[in-house]
Amino acid sequence: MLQKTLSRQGKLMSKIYKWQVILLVAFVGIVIMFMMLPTVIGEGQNLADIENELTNNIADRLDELDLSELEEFEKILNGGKVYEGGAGQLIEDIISGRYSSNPEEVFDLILTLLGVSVKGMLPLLITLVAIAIIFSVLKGLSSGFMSQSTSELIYFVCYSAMIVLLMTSIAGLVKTTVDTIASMSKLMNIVFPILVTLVTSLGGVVSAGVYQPMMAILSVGGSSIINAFVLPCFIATMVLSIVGYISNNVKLEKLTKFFKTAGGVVLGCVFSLFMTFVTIQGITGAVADNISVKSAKFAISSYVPILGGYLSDGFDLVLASVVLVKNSVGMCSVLIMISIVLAPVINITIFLLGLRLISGIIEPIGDKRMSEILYAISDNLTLLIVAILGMAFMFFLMVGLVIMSCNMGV
Amino acid sequence: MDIFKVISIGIIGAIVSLMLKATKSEFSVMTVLATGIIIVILVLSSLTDVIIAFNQIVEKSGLDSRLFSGLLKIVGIGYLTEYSSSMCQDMDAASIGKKIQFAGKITIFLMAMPIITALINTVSSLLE
Repeated sequence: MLQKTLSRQGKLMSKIYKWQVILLVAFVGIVIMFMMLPTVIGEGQNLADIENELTNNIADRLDELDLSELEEFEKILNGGKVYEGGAGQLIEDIISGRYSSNPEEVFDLILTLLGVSVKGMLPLLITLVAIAIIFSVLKGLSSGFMSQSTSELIYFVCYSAMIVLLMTSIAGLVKTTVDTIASMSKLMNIVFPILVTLVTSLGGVVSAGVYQPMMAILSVGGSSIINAFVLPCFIATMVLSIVGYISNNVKLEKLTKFFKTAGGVVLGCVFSLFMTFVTIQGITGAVADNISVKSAKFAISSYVPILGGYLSDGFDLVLASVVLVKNSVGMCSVLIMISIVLAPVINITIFLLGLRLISGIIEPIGDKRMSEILYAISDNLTLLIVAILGMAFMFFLMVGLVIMSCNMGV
Repeated sequence: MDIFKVISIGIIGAIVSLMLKATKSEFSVMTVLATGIIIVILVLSSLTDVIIAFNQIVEKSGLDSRLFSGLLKIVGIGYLTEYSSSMCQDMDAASIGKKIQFAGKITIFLMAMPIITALINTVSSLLE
């Protein structure tokens, strides 16, 4: 009887155990399932959420940014030809990836610019050749004269006509250079506060501290060095070349070369000093900022209990949106800058090449001095191109550095 | 060909003046002058062709015609002074010829003056 009850009890107990084990296993399974569930089902939903949040974040950041000045500047520039929807639209399109620079379009633009500058230049070139032809014919007519002064005077008159014609164009080129540099520094003054704000909001305090004075030096110092030193040097080379080729007796070639080299050397020194300084400072500043941002993230994720991980992930998201906005603002400013620089550089280059061509054509026809003055003037024009391109390159470097640095959370 | 005419007239004039020198030397100078004038008249017609060709170059290039006319005047004055001074030399009055050349130089300089001032103005406007 006892044995019977015992065995029955044992059976019962073992049954209970069995149930318990089954329940336990089921529970564990359910728990595991629940644990798996969100990751399995929520994967797609989460991604969409993150994307949504990111776009919302970006929209917020863009709304917060004051782009009105940039938009206005872009509208004044070339009548808003940089991008159809204006600067703000360009920034949004760059972020969303809708903006694609069609190489064909760019090529077309460059070709039309080339065509316009060649067409604008042709009358001048033809006139110069005509003057050289007239000079050579008149020189032939008066070569029998006993007094050499008549043919010298004919040369002088033709030379003066050439110079007067050339100088009107060159004065225009100098004015375009000044305007280009002024609008570049204006663009910097508009863009850099925006970029520095974004960098600061990314936690790049050290970088912002570096960029702010650098930008001031570049936009004010760069343009004033070009206006105060390089352009006067250019004009000095022009005047010295003109005076130097009036007669065979006065030779001012070396003095002209001195002014040209002086302008080039000063530009080169300023550019290289600036670049070295900016690059080193920018890199070190970016590293310091990276460390500070990373430590902030680490602090959030490890010291804030339970929610820390979520917070640091959200932190990443916000940072990513700011980084996107920052980079697209930088990209937009680079595009605007290219549109500022492209036309004058092409114009001056075509002018330079045209002068060299005419100097080659005139060499066998006219006086040796005539072809030499044209070549000298074309040589001097490189100073203008160097000034514009150097300024643009410094700007490009600054923007590139801002784009490259402080890319936290991406 | 015009050039044969010019050459033959010149040589005939020279021979005639040589022949006259022995008998009536005062006419010999007249012959020289007359030969020179005839040669100029002969060449003048072909000079107009040169000027027309010039004009075409100027019109095609769109140059200021004042520049061209100024240049032409300079050359013309040069020719005239050269010619008249050599005539004076023929008449054994070389000093008068030199004075004519001097006057010609001054006139040419005056003609070139506006262009010179234009050059100076452009240079000075560059410096400002």
